[in-house]
Amino acid sequence: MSMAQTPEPKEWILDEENELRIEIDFDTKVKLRLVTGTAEIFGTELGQNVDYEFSGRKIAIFTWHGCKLLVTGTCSVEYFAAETPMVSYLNMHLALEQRRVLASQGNNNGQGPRVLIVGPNDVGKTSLSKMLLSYGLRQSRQPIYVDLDCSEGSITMPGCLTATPLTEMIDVEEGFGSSATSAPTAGSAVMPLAYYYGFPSPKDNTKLYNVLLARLAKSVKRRLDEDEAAKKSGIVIDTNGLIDATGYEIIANCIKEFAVDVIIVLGHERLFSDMTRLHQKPGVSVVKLAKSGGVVERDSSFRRLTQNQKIREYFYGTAKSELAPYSTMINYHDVEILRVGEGSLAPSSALPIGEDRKVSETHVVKVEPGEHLLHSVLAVSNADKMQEPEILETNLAGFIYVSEVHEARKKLTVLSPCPGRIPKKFWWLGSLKWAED
Amino acid sequence: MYQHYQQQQQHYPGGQLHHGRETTDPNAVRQMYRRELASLTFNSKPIITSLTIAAGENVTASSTIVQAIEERLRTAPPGQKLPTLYLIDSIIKNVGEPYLNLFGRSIVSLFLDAYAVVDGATRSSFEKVLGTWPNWTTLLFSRDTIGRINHGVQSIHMQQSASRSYQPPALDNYNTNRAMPRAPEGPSGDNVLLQDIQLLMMQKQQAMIVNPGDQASSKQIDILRQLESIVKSTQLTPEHANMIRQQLAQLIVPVPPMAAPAPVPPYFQGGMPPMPPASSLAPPPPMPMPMSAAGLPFNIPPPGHFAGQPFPGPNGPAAISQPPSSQPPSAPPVAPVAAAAPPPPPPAAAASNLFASLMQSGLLGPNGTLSNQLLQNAVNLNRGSPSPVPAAATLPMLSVPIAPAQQANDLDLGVMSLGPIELTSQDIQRKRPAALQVMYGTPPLQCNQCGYRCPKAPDAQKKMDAHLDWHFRQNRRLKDKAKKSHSRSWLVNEEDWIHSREGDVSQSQQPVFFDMGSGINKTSKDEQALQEEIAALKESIVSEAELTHELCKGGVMTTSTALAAIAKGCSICMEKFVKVWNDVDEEWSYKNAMVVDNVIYHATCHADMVRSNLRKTALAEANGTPALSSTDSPKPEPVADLSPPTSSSLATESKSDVKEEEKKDLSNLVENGSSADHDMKELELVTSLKRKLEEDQEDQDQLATKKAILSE
Repeated sequence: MSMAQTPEPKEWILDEENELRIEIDFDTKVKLRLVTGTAEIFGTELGQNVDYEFSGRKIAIFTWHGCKLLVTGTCSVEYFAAETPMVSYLNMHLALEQRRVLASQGNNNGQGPRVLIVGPNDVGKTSLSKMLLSYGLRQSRQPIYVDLDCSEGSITMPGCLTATPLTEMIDVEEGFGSSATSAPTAGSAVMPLAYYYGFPSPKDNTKLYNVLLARLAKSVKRRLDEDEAAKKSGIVIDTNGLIDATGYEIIANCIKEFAVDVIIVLGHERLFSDMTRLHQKPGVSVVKLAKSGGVVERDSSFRRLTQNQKIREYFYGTAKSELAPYSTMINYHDVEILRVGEGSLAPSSALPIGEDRKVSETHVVKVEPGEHLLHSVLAVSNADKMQEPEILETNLAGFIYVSEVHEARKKLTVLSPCPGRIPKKFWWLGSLKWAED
Repeated sequence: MYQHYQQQQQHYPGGQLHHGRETTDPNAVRQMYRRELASLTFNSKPIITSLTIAAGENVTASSTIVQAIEERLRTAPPGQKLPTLYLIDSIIKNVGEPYLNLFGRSIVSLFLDAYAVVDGATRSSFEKVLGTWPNWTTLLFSRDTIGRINHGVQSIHMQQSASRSYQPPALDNYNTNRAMPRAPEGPSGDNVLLQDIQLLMMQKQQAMIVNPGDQASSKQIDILRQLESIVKSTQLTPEHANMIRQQLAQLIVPVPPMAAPAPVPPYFQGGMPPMPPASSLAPPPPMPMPMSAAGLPFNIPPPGHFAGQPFPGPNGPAAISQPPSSQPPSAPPVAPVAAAAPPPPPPAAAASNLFASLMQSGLLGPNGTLSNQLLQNAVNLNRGSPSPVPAAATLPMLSVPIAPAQQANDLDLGVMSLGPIELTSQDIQRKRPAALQVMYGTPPLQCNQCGYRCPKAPDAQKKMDAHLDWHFRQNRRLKDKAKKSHSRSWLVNEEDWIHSREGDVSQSQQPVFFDMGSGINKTSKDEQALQEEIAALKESIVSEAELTHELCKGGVMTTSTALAAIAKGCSICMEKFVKVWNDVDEEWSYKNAMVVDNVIYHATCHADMVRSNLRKTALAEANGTPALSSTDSPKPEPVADLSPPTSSSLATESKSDVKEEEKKDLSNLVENGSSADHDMKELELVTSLKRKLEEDQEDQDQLATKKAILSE
């Protein structure tokens, strides 16, 4: 941004329990500074007189005690609201915290709460997850964040099911932090466990989704058995907004696999009533929370931009902590490109993003490298050998991006997150495409 | 406490009021001394020696110097108080008068205030210093003074070991002060008043330690501090002084006589104060006992008066040891006697009375800016005084069964004291005024770089230090990012994920890197970072013009001799530099070259040299304890660990590794810093590293003391 465009900082004075909601376009940067009072963004407290910079975000700055904020830059939307469901969100956290205290005293087999957050799209499930996790972290807990929303990929990339142990505060600028970088992330460097699903909706391959869900739950459970702090702190599960029959099936599956004992239904009366009827029993609570008025519908173009931003950040980092990816040439015959589903393959680039051919099988198909890989984001499997069905359930080592295809020389130019050879040869092809700008 | 002390730094006006009386440009001396003092953040013999010599050479400015030192001791963070005490010790022993007399006036409160806030290891060092005073070759402080310090030390011990007893220790001490014949200092009215103020201030600070959320006490401390300055700088008439003291008396909390504290021997034999017998560790009787009126020169209202003190009274511990109470621990206790006692002036009223009378006496004339400020504070004090959590008492009784309170930490207690929050859609909506206290109220430490609050716990300071170190590393790497690039690493496989632990901040452990099957990844991450930095240094290029310019600085060389020097090669390894053409800037450049003080080196060679020098210095410093005679020669390796043990496998990383890592950081730091680019962040790290070294030293001292006790 040039100097001419930089407007004067705008001052906002918020009363207690008010919230400033701002939306920032992808091509602008906005600086935020807390001058006096206290304020938090999705549960993470802001430091006073520290500049935070945002781009392409929709955020709410909430204050419990009242505060003065300075906003520098142009927001596409900015207003403050006095009515928020924050009191109930805080109570929710405290109720979970009480269960953690009880767990650390040996009750409930020493297990902290396993919380599942369900609700339709755009009710603030991820924001609520962040808040509950942040509040937990603020009280020295080490919860595990399970992200089952394959359309977004808060931690790694869209198309994944992940579990991430959190030990440090969630960075307000970088969200959940960037996974495992050698970079000077100001936020937490987290180490997610990611399984590759490869479709935007659980509906696209429900069978595979459920297989991966069970695998993820098993790994999380194994870790919890060893990790005392995480066990006491419990897990928070963020879900996809699917609430039809398939959605219900997945929710039921999830409750079973993760031994969920707290179900939070966000902003949907009928879903709450159904969840109460289907799942409430001794030891399982179903709670309804209101959605925040600040939650905005994210249209498909916003989601796509967010997705692109996510991919870009995976390779290049954020303005605050830049990363250097490496470009390398790979021979066709040095890699195996795999895909779940039917054999015949039309380039998925021929289909609009978000739509894919329906596949129902969980068998693995080899894909010949070729022009159709151009601009694809491929997931690198940690598997060492091609063995079905194990390879499906093998977690990911990371992602690469195909920037060029040299059909004549049978080579690919790929962008790898870090220098050195790409560690594994089995790469998953999904529907994820990215046009590097 | 960190915050608390920052506040003190901001509000402490003390010293500036005296320097007008000085004859020899006290301002300059003061400035110089303060600057020097500011560097005394760790146990450094050279700094202490030089400050001692400076004190000896500037006897005319002695009161200014004493003021600066007192201010430093009061405002330094708890982790940095000990070196200042060593300095005082060194000055009184090596210079003597007039410093003895000057320090003698305030040493009791000075020592005890600092003692009250430092951690256990530092305390034993404090006690060691104190132990050397009575038996020193010359008379240092009067028996009375040392007796009072010892007594105070013992009270603090009892108070804090009696499982969070809320009993302010000072009054016991206070009584004794009054009962004893006064020290030969000669108590003028002002002096007594000052002591009263300081005593009250200490009580409030105690209350703050016990209950950091106690806003009322915090404000009162500020006001008292200002009052102290006024009294110091103003000549009071005896009536005024008396009036203020009477007002103060109402604010002082009466303390029941301790469970038969043994009369304190005037001198300690072994340098260690006797530990209170185990039986006296029991919580004190829940009700305040009438204090001996004869011991006080002014009237004290009956004990019922104090029932409504804004900080927890002596019945606090009883409330805590009870099964779940409806009060959050931070709420003031509601004393059952309040009803029976004659209606007491609430403390806020007492405080405003104080100010009213100060106004009446003309002490706080309406024209003085200071008095306006005081009035403003009085208003704040009134606002701050009512129960901070008024609604807490109306909360329902806790019905969730919880384990005995002493097993849970404060945070847990706070959460549980809210009463069970049912996971129902109705109960979750109910507003709980005390809820915020859990999130914002109790933690006393907050990071000013990111808003992180360190939950209240015994190891909070260490956690916060670790957190700040982590910030420092992040910032430093961020600063370096132009020099070298970072990349995202590959994710670990499932088994590693299940078994690896991220570790807490104190370990500053980076995530596990992908196992490429090579041996490189077996080295620690910082080793890897170091290798990367070395590689970056090797590849870094400096233009010929720049090198020549640096060499010619100060007229030491001409351009031609400078060029010859470059051609000769590195002054350490004597190897020639690699000359390359820089396409971007279109000029000749040299790889891995740098100039320090008109000498040319390989950047890597120089860094190596600095690192080894630094290691030597650090070790030397760690072994020097100034002004203390007893240092055992064979020192056992301290076993105390830096962080609480976690179940994590990474946590088993030995302490020596941590040290290595620190040293590496330190040396990297010097590499960066050698280009005269010292910024605050780097200083911060030096400080924290040195503090760690100092802590190690403390550990060793403590072990030595324990050994001494055992051998007796």
